[in-house]
Amino acid sequence: MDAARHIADAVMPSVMIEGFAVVFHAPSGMTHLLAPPLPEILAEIAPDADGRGGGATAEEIVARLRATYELDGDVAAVVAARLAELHAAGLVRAA
Amino acid sequence: MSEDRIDGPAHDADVAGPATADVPAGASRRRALMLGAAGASMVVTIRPALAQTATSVLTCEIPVPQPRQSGGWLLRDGTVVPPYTRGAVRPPYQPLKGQEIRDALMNGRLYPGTTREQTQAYTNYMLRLQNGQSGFTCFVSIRAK
Repeated sequence: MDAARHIADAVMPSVMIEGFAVVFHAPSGMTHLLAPPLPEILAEIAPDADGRGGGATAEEIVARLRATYELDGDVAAVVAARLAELHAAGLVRAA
Repeated sequence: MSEDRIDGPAHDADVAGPATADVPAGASRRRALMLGAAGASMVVTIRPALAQTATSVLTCEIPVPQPRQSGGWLLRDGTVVPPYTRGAVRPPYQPLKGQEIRDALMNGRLYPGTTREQTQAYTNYMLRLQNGQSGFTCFVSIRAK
């Protein structure tokens, strides 16, 4: 697994509707509808309030999710795929 | 998505609802999280015309800070402050190029000739840009690809 660190974008309020997170991403002007586990992953890698720190490697994200949730299957592979999706959407960047 | 975080005291567990409801702290049974198949897509994106601005990512540039604040230095969080402010870094001598910004955002690369502190301050400055500020459209194009 790569050791690159991923961090969620700084200002990203969202609302939950029927289990989906609706995220308006002001820097890109785009709105995203996110299904689980994307909101959960974003919550794990949100930056600190002062804009410093935050972020995690894919391995750390898996560990944090395991600490909170019951997970089945090849968690590492799925988290890697989900991170790639979040990067593509511009909601996560390299920390 | 702070509403998903488990940071409050334990509360009643009868939150029947979406997969993202809170779990009482210390609950013996943790909530199952559906991860989905690796190949499935979990994002639906609504892309307004603004995000499709055809500015070339390779050629557009962003002045840091914007000309109106020219000469200002930057704090780590991207705030523009007077020159030589304690804890602030010097701005870049030239506007940052689209490709450099992309490399910094996507690959964590440093802007040429800068320290990690400078790169972080510049990136945070751009993340704070809003519509109407110099560089905003370029940054939107870079983010939206």
